[in-house]
Amino acid sequence: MAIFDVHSFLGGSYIPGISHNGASVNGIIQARQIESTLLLSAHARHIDPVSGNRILKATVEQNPNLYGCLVTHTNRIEASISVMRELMTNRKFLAMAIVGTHENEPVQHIVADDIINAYRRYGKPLFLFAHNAAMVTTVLEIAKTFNMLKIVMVGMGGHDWRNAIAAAHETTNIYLDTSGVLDQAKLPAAIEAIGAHRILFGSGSPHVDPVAALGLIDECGLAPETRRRILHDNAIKVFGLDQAV
Amino acid sequence: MIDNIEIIDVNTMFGPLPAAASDLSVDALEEMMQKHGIRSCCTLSTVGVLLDQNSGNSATRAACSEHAHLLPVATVNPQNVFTVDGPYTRFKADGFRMVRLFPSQQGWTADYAPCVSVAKRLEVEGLPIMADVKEPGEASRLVRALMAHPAPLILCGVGESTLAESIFLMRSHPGVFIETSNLVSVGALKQVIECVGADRVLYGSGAPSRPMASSLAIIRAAEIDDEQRAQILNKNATSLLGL
Repeated sequence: MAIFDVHSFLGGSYIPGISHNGASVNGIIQARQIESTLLLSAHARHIDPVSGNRILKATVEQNPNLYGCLVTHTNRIEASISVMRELMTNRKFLAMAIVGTHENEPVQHIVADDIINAYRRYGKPLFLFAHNAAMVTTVLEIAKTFNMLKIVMVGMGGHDWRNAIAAAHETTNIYLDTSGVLDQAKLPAAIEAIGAHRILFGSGSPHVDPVAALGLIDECGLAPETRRRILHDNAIKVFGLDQAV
Repeated sequence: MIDNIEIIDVNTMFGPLPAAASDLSVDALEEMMQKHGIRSCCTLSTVGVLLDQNSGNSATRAACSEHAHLLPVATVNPQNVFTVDGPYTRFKADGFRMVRLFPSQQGWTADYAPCVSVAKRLEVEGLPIMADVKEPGEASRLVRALMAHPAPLILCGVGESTLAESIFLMRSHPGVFIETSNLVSVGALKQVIECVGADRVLYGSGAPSRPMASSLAIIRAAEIDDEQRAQILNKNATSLLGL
């Protein structure tokens, strides 16, 4: 079965030589039989959105099975909007993420608005991290404000995954990725609440090995159709790859 | 690859766990073991971790006495220790195979005076100790506090942020081992084996709240040889637990 991992990083591993370039990422995904991966740049997230995203562009353009998710930063609004204009028209960039200063703190709606307003014209999904309940609340606010945008809540709320499911249930434009804690109760609960059509397979690689993330899916004993949607079909639809020329 | 190995899982629990929505009954654990071909599990009641060590240890003994493939693990919460003599002086006689400690979860540190006292008594018992490690620095404090312990010390829940620290400790302390349930990042298991060897690694799943399928998939996918897999999944635990 084809697998599309919507949440993986270029760089950022504590372990030397892991996911630091396209060849390394390709080695990991091929060994795990993953067909396509959406990459975010750890360099863009932690250091500099301009150079990080440009390195990502070079990486995804050389690898047909890799796609890019632009990373923008609320502390670098002008640079973020500039790199967005430079790269988001590229067909290999399927989405954009907004990050803030602290990894486990919510992106502030008020400062993210400028970036989101500039991004709306591209009609592509917006990725927002949610590692805890406070971050889920902010994602929900943004999703309600920008209700024409598809919002992918990355990390499914961490240990507060019930909040993430409730937020997705309250809107129609929030999608959940399966990354976050490896709690086998969360996926059946999410499917029951919002259906399988708004759930995307995301691993968080290299911080979580895609095989461990797939183990979470396997443990749930999903029907083949549901499994196919989560692992592949939903991503193709959300990113509009079924309409690509 | 691992189909013919009799797997021993050193990290499971059963009982109520409000933080997880999973069914943590002994039956659910057994069902999961059968599904994944696990021969034996070290296990303990969550009651001992979350509420009362004595009730929890009694529940663990009761459950394991009815299920031969469940190996009883005792726990001590130093916050409930008021004298130097306690039930932990009888763990071995009571049939426990190992003792588990949960410093972060229970809110104490390894240099906590009652913990030092418990550690001295556990030296007499000589059972392996498995301690949960969540934050950087925690493993170093535990190893310092338990340096004189005559049996192995297993670091449990080591993840990305505590991996380098754990490897350094294992290099300098031959009695320190590592459990796999949180070694989920790409290349982490291989890194441990390259640094300290497969004979220092024990398979643990964290089930039933965490999926056994994930922890087993990590072992399957790791770029290690079959002998190393056999060590991690069976041989090391067999030797360490005296099975």
